[in-house]
Amino acid sequence: MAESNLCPEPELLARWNSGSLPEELFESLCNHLEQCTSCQFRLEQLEDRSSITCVPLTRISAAHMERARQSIDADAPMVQVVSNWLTVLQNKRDSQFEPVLSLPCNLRQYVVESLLGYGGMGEVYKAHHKNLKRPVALKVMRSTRQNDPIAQAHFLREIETAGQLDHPNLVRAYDAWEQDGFVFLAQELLDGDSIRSLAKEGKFTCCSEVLNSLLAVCHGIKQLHHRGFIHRDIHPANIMKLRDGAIKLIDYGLAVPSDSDWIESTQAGTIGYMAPEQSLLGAAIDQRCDIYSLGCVLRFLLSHLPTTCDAKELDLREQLRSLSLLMTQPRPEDRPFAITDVIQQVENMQTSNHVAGEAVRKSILTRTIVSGVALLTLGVITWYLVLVNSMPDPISVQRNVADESSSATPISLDLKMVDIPVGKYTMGGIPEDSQNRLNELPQRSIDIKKPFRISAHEITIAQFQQFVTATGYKSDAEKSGEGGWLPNRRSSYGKRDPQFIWSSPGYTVNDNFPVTMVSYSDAVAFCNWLSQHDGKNYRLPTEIEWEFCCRAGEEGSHSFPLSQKDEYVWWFKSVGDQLSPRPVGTLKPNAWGLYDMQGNVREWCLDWYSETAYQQDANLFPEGPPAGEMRAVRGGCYMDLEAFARSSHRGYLTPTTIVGNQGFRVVEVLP
Amino acid sequence: MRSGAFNISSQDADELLTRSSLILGLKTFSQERWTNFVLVYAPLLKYWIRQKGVPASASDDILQDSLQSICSSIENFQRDSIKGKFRGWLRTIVERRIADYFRIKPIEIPTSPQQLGSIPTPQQKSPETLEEEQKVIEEIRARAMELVRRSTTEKTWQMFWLSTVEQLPTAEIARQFDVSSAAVRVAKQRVLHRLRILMLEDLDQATDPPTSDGV
Repeated sequence: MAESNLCPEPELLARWNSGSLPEELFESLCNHLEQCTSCQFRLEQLEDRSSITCVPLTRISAAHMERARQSIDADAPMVQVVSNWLTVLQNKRDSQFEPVLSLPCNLRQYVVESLLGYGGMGEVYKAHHKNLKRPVALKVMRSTRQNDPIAQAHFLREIETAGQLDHPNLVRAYDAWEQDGFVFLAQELLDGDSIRSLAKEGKFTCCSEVLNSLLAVCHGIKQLHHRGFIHRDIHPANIMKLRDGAIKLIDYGLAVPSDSDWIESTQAGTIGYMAPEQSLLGAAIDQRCDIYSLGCVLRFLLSHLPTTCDAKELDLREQLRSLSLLMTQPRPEDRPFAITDVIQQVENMQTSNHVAGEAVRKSILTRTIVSGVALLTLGVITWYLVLVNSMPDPISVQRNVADESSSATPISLDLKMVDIPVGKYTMGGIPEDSQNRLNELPQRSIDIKKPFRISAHEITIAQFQQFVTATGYKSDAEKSGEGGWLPNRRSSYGKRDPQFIWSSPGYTVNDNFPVTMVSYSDAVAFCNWLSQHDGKNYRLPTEIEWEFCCRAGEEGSHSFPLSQKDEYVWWFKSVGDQLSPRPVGTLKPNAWGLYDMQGNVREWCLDWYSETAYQQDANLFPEGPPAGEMRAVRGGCYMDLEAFARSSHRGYLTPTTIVGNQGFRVVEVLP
Repeated sequence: MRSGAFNISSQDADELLTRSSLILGLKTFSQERWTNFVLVYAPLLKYWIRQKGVPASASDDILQDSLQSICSSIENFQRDSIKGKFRGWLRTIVERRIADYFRIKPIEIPTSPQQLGSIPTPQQKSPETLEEEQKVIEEIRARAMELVRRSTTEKTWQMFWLSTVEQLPTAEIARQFDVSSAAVRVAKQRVLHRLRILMLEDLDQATDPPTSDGV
């Protein structure tokens, strides 16, 4: 079973048990423990060490707590006075910024023209070489950070690494020196933009562009690896596409020699692109962590391609998607061993799909007039500058209300789809709701800029049957021979049985029951088949889309009057003694004509799950974070309590877990 | 090493990297963490100030001065923190601000600065002092717990409280809430984890640290 890969090592579990796990690992392990029955069993074998920590807490009584409550409230005025001190100090530090150089000036053989930007750690200037007339980006380590040995070490490492590299796909370093207590690095001035911004602006339009960029980065990485370095921080903001189409991998602030002892003890990288082994202190890493990160970059690029109906393009996307999955396997030994293996595969794809090798469409870059190397990572802060405002054009948004008469249009498979208009809504737990979990907060404004369609019902057994009949598809529960889990009153996971598959989930069903016992990939396979079958583009809903549809314009915690809950939701109370889902559409729909959103069965969403997703800008991650371990699951099910039926409630599950209380519905992406 | 002018010895580099691995995992101190810190620790700071014989009229000023000093260096402390040193570090800061006060106003007070410099070690403390200090420490623990409670779901909190404070067996709590024993332990660890963050590792410190290290 693939999910067992994610189970923590015994040592990690022991550290969790003794309360010494670092903050960044703690939450994901807790989530895992809540899900994974085998780890729960392992945990029960471990003595509860927290009782030692808790000794001092046993002296705290309810009376202490009451006094604490009152005295905290009494201290409120004082706290009000001091609360902004930290922010003031931090701002003051920022405003005291004075550039190292006063411009214009000559520095050695360079004429320094302008300041391109600065961050907490350093500055970047635009300059040119007096004799060679060559433009350069001049990085300077800021004076106030001179006594910060960590930042300095990062900068020196970047200089050392850059000095040993010479490849068209790697940013070139020309010169480095120390002067008046400052450290300077002269680098190639790059005129372009990061592929992250380009992808976000929709400048990658087809697979061949993705392939070309990917291959170029691979070649850069190849030299890096051959020279004995591991980059450790490959992500879309660290890959530049220049105006002439050239691809450059930049920023070696975290690169380390691969034969170094450092690797074992250092933890660094960018969340979402970092290989699992990089986040474990003490785990050995090698070149395969760069392969993992590049796999995430590939997935990121694919997720930003426009929808298409072109069969050849779809096929190529599927091939690239498989490659990205292979590259991002949790266990390093399951990934391609060397970057040359990846290059081989990409080149094969190019040949077999007749993709033009260096065909770079310059037009896609016309809007970027960026100059600057623009990346300087020293320590924790990565900053880069984009001189041109690359904000997307404002899109006018109209607020529509779904129209009952025109919205429900039946299509094939008796799949009833509902038109969802554009609109704005506030996503997340409303502040006054005491049942909020941290993962629903803070609330954020969402702008749905494109209409789409969503199935009025959860996908039924009859619909899944048609898919299986047409394709001979075997679900994950059947393939593994282990079946799925059927929850019972004692446990949300209940028991597992090889008999428990989509057509016989362990409770009595008929054609109109929502299909369950399906893994994430089973659900995706259904969407893909449906897309082919109908010649349209179906996929799972994103969390943003799901909550928009669930709320149906209702801002409160529920989309229905709470007093009439049983008329809308199959949940713990309304199902009574018969603990199983019910045929779809037997209760009332919400205002937009969608049935069973909050109850009956939980539903897979497209997104990777992140506990802190709402702290991110929704525009950056409309489809959730680019990587993760769990998939988001929305809505409650027949056995859930009160809290799950709230519109903002978020759940999650490892994509390979198959349970009898979870199904899905589909979204049709409109052209 | 590799590129001429900018060599660093590998030993230095190892040290730097060990430190950087600590730092890279940390977030900057947020305003929320700062106000929570003040809410939790204010009683202890006030107690130390009271204990030094500072007149009531001046204690608010000294508290404010101490908080300002703490505010400007708490991010650095957090970065270099050694487990269990937090309270000692706080106390050093408060005592310096108290000393500043007495230096500025030497005439108004009967105690000499020399006397104030001699800080009793835990062994020298009288039983009454120890008892009073214990009370204050219980107060800050209760405050931290209250703050965590406010941002924890009722169910998680109840499981933690029954397990930790009321010391019910895990299996019994699991039965009451109809969850697995593992779920109870996860709930408990979640709360403890947040308490640790709030108290900057001070939670696991069963006894008092040595006071002022004379830095």
